[in-house]
Amino acid sequence: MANLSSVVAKFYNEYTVHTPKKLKIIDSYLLYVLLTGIIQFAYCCLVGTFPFNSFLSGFISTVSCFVLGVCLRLQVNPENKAQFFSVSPERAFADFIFAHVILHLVVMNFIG
Amino acid sequence: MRAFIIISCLALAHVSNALPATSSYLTDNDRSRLRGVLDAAWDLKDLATIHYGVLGYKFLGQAVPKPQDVCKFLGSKTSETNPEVLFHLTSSWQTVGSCGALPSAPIVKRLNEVASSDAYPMADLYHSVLGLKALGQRPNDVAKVLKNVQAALKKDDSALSLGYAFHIAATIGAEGRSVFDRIQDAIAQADEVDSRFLQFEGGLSITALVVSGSFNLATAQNKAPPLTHEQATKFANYFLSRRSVQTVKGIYSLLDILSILSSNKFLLPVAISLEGSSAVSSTNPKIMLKVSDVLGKPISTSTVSVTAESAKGAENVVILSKKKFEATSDKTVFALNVFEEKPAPGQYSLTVSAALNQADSRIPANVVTTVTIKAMCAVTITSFEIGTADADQTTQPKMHKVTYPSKLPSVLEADSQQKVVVRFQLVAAGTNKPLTVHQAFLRLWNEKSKQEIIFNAEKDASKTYKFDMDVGAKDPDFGFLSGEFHADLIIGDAIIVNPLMWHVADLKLSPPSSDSKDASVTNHAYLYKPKPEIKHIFREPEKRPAAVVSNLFTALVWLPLLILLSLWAKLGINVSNFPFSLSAIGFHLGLTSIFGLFVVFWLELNMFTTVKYLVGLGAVTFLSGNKMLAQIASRPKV
Amino acid sequence: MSSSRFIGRISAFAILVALANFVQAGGNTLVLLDNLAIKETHSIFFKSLQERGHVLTFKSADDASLSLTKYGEYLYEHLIIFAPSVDELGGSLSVEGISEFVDGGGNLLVAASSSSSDLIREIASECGFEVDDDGAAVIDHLNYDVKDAGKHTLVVANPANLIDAPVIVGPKSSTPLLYQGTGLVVDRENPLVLTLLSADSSAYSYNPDNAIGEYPHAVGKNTALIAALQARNNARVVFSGSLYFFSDEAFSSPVQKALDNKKHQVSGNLQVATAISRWVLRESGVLRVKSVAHHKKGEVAPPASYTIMETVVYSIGIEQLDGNKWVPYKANDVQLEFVRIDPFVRTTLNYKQASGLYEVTFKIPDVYGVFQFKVDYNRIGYTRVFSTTQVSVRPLEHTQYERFILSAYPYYSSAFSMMAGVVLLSFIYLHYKEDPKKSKSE
Repeated sequence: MANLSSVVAKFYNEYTVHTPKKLKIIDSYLLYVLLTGIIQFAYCCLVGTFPFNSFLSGFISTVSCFVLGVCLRLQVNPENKAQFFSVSPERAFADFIFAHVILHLVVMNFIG
Repeated sequence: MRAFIIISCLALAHVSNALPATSSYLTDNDRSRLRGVLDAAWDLKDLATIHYGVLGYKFLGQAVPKPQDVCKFLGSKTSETNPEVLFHLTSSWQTVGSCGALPSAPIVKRLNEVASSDAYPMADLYHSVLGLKALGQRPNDVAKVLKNVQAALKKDDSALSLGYAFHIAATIGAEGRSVFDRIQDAIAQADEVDSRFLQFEGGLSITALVVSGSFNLATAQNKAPPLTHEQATKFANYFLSRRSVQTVKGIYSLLDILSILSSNKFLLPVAISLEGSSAVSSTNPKIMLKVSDVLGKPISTSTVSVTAESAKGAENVVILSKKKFEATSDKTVFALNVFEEKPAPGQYSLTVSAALNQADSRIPANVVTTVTIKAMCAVTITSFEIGTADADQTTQPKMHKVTYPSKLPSVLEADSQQKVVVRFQLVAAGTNKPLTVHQAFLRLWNEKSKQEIIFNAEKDASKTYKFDMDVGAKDPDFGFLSGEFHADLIIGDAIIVNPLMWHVADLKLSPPSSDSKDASVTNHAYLYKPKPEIKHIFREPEKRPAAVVSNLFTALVWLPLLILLSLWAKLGINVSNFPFSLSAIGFHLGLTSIFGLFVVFWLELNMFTTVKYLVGLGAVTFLSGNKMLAQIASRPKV
Repeated sequence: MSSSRFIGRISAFAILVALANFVQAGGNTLVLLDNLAIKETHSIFFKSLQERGHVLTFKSADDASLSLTKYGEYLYEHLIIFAPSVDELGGSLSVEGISEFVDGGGNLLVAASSSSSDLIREIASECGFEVDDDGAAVIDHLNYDVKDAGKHTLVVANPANLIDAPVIVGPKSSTPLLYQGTGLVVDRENPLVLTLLSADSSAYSYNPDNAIGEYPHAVGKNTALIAALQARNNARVVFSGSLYFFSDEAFSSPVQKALDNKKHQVSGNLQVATAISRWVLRESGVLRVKSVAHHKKGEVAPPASYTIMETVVYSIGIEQLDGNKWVPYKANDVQLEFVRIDPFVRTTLNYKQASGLYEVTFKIPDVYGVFQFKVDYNRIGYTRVFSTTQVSVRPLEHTQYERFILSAYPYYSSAFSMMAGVVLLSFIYLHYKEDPKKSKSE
């Protein structure tokens, strides 16, 4: 247990020190998306699935935002530069925005 | 039926030289019914109907009602020229009698004109000659009339035409003898039906016309018609079978011919019929017979002796022979006490002969007929027992005695392992001899379902009626019997005076445990009745959470955004790198307006307009974003 | 001169046309008799038919010229067989021909007697009845008429045993009926066969001259005296075990049970026989559908298709033949079904006095598919009224669903929040300037 907490503490320390601020901004964003999704899910569990299409759109919208956010983070992370050699952070961001435009159009259409 | 004919043939053979009698006559009931039908004539619509109504009333001895109205109607027809109309007119005018003088001269002239012309058919000759007769006239040229008749007969020698010819010849008188020879031809055309009736095709009116014409002609010629007694009787049988006739003309024909058959000089058919009941019993021991002419009057001034030749029961048991009937106060009715012969209950065929004590050429010396009579008795039910027994007969049945007309006081219960047993004997009251009846049924009746099942009780060698009903057995029609039933005993026979339906007991039958109700009985109800209504049950609206919960969560959903802002604040965010270039502003404004557009899309737009706007906004955003990102990319990295 | 003759011709023609119409109203009827005497003994019955406009053609049943068809067309609409003892039909007529005649919509009235021929038995079994054996008569030792000849076969039938259908047997009456003839057994599995008159519980059908050996074919109330069939093609058949029932004698006789002192001046036979003949000759109980209409509530014309849960108005006009004309038929038990394989809605139609139509308003179920408005009106004695109208029912359109639902607000909010999040992120992320202090603090 102590071991685990020390690992967490070490990890947290490592994160606060070594992670670039830009990534932290994205991480905060991801946390926000995650929390929104969790609250929706909790609401749905509490009151039932009606209206189901609205729930699906709302929830999928958060899930997709989360996935897109993670993709963006992976692509702009300097540590992964080698892997995304051909993708500049700006290009990654443009993709991110484009995906969002499409995503929200679909979400708005389906949310009812 | 065939047995009956054979018996009557035997009976006829038995009585030497006897001729059959007809078995009915015109009763007072018949007369009043016929009169009721004749009343249709008095609505004064149709001349022929009035004519036959007037004649029919005369035969029945009734006065014509409202003769003035009838005369007025007849008076309106005096200017007609149709011989048929004139015939009806003159004949009814004279029959009514109270119409005063008929302006007869033009009518006589017209009728003579028709009678002596060869242009008219037989029917018109008939109408004109008989019309003249009604006015008390003979045709001017009798020879010409006869020539016309012969000519018409050459063209048409049907029964109808012959019938007219006979009447014409009879009216003319002695000169008509040439037609007399045709009677034989006409009679030969008659059809025999069931070897009882003689009739002409075409029914009552034609048959009556031919036969009455024959008799009238014979009377006019004073020669006996070429008819045997047997034929006359068969014609009489036919006429009497037509007593239910419903037309005014038919009634006139019937009354006319019956009066001829009861009053002519040549042949008088004799009617022997049962007067009153055909049954004899201890309370009504006598058989009454009526011997009369076809109108129910005495056949002759002479006395009649009536003899019961024989009475044969089942298996040809003869219970009496050669017994004389006693005369009664009514000259036509004769009585015989059959019951004093102590007949066993049953049917008997009684052969009766009647003979005149003084010979009369018009009447056969001896006529015979066979009537069916019944010896009746009262039935008594003795030793009636009802009970239950095991179906496999391992134990003695438990029987309860019941006496007529009481009912078993307790309800008899039986289950599917048992059977219901009934035993009883029937004896004739008085003699106490065992009796066999046609109908000995046990009826089970369920008051609620109206279900009725009837069982036939069978008689065994010891003359005991018995009946077993297996409660566990399945009836092919009703399935298993279960529930509460009335048990009724039905005893009936044509020879018992007290047929009965006796509520014997109440039964409670339990079905086998595996029984399932049979639905076959409900077929009709299902098909022809309104069906139960069906209301569609709509899907219930989803349960919705309370507004406060929704509102709470709506607020909660916005919470993470605050968390995001606070986290960013903690990270110490800034936008110091904002270039304030057109492209940067354009991009952010563009992006914001795209999402704004989505909100408007959600609120009211449809997809097509949305996409149209989106293309514009998207292009601006793309271009400015591209430029801005390129600027950012070219910025030196820290 | 010539013009007056012309007018005369016109009026003759007009009379002819009128006559033709009249004939059509009653219809041609072929009457087959054992012998022509039956025409006289049953004259009241035949006269009543003629007075109602029927054209009767009397033929002997063994007449060699008998034929129901000519050039493939039926010559007669109705066939009356009052020939209980005919062994073989004359001409081209056969039992098959008679059943084809009924299959072709012809109506049939047959009267049997205690001595019915096998031919009559065959015709009966073709129609779902069974005529008891030769010689068998309906016997009722408890309810026979005083005029009975001794075998208790002149039965007084209780009018309470008539079927409860005034359209067939006429209004309820308490006047007893006279019956003399054989018993019928009806096929109880066949729902189209109706027992019009049944015997009393104490009656049975058996040969009165033979002791009862086997169980009688017809006993008690199961003994049908007069039975009817309305086939699926609405052809009508009436089978009477008694020819006497229709006779002048039975019509005009008084009735008195031998074991009862109550005397009725005249039997009820005439009324019942008239009602039955009206029914079998299609003068009563003939219905047809005049019109069918349906539309959305508030509209007048039927739509191309309905949408689920819409309110629909359905109306149907049903007419009854009354003499020569059709009049609106009034009843309170006409039902409409809204059917997709199974009925989803079954509701009673209301008769509207003003329009003479039956109408109902109901809400279409929340199920889509191809539906039928179905009226299947099948009542005892009436021709079957069957009408179906097919309509399609669509699901709701994309735009027809409920929107802005309160309980979905969290989802809406989150979707907007996500959009806001992207806008903010893009602004912050793109224009964030790395804080130089950061490395220092490290």
